[in-house]
Amino acid sequence: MEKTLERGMTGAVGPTRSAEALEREWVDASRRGDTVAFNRLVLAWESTVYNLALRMLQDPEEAAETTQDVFLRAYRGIHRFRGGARFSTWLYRIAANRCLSRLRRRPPGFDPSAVRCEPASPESQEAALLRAERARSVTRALRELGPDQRAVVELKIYQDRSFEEVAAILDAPLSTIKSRFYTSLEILRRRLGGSPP
Amino acid sequence: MQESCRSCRDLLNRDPFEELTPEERRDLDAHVTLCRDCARERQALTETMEAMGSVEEVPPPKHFFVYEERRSSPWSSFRRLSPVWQGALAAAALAGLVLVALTAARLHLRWEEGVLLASFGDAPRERLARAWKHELLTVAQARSRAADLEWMDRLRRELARSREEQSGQMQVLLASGLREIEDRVDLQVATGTRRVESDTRLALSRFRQLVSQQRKRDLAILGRQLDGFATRNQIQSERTDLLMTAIFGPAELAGP
Repeated sequence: MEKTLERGMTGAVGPTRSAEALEREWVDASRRGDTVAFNRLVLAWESTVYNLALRMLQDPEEAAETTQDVFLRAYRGIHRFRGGARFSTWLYRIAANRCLSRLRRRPPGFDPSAVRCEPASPESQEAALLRAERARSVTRALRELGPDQRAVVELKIYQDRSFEEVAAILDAPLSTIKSRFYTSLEILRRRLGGSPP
Repeated sequence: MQESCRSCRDLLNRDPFEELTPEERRDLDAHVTLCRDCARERQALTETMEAMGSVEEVPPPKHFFVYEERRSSPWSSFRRLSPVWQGALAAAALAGLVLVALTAARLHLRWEEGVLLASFGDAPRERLARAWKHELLTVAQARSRAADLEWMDRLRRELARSREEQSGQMQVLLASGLREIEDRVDLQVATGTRRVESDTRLALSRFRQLVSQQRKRDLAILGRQLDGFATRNQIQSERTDLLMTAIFGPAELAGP
């Protein structure tokens, strides 16, 4: 989160203040109706939320719409956020629920457009193609997962949340989350890592 | 699959997420060194995680800032004023509210035959009820008791018939009006009867008085007539006596 928050700081904060404290400060200000503080949170979390939505929905336009929706809902509901949980957990819950809601509304056989894969750093054309091909494989493998499995994989693998946090975000028992995750991992391993011996 | 392999698969699943204790990791490494199947499984899992990691973070196409709707609410505008202006505005608002309340209490709106009618003053219902009472009293005064009763019966029947259409308050007003009219008519009838009885008694008394006076006058006249008649008879008798005396007196003197 330190890295994430750095994007939202815009150099206005001194190095002595921790990211956690900074985030708490912005959350408190947002609860008092400070739109600027909330937009600092948006800046800090928009990439994470957008990419979460993109991987879950696999449609850039829909991911952008969902991200905007997530932040709008967060802004409207920030006064209800009491600080009992971490802000990220609360935000992930909103994002995961919005994505799950959209996934469940999709008709069977819905084929979203492919995920854009833009290399983060300059690399050779061959390496870029190879990376793009692997990303497409992952996209295809993720499509085989159901909405709930996709949400667990997204939060566990890409957002690096603990099982307890994933259970809290998705509001499901810990055992269910673990079972769902290992089943998903098995599906992904079959698709991406070859057949089991 | 051996028991050691089963527990190894569990450790393998947890391995990429740094959930293993140093002891568990040592056990896993030792098992994988000896078991080719679990080694392949670990390799497959590593490739899976690498492939998953190949999906890089994509920069968002735009910022998702949330903008507050800058609508100046009356309350926020009020709070920005100085205390003097706040007091003055509060007093003006209070006065305005009182004025509006007074106006609203005297203003009456009603929907009649597709037209919205507005009136200011007494409630139309009360005014209407008063008008009805006045009209009914006027008509009642011009009718006889029997006609009044018949007319009021008809009104009652009409009231019962239109009970569905009339509001409860209107019915109460009409019923109270009818009761008042009935009372007044009863009072008028009773007063009239008493007046007639009194007049009759007076007339009879006067008649008796007149008859008595007339009788006295007649008796006096009769007495006077009788007196005259008696006087005339006496005169006649005296004349007869004189005549008889004149006739028969000499004869007696010249008798045998």
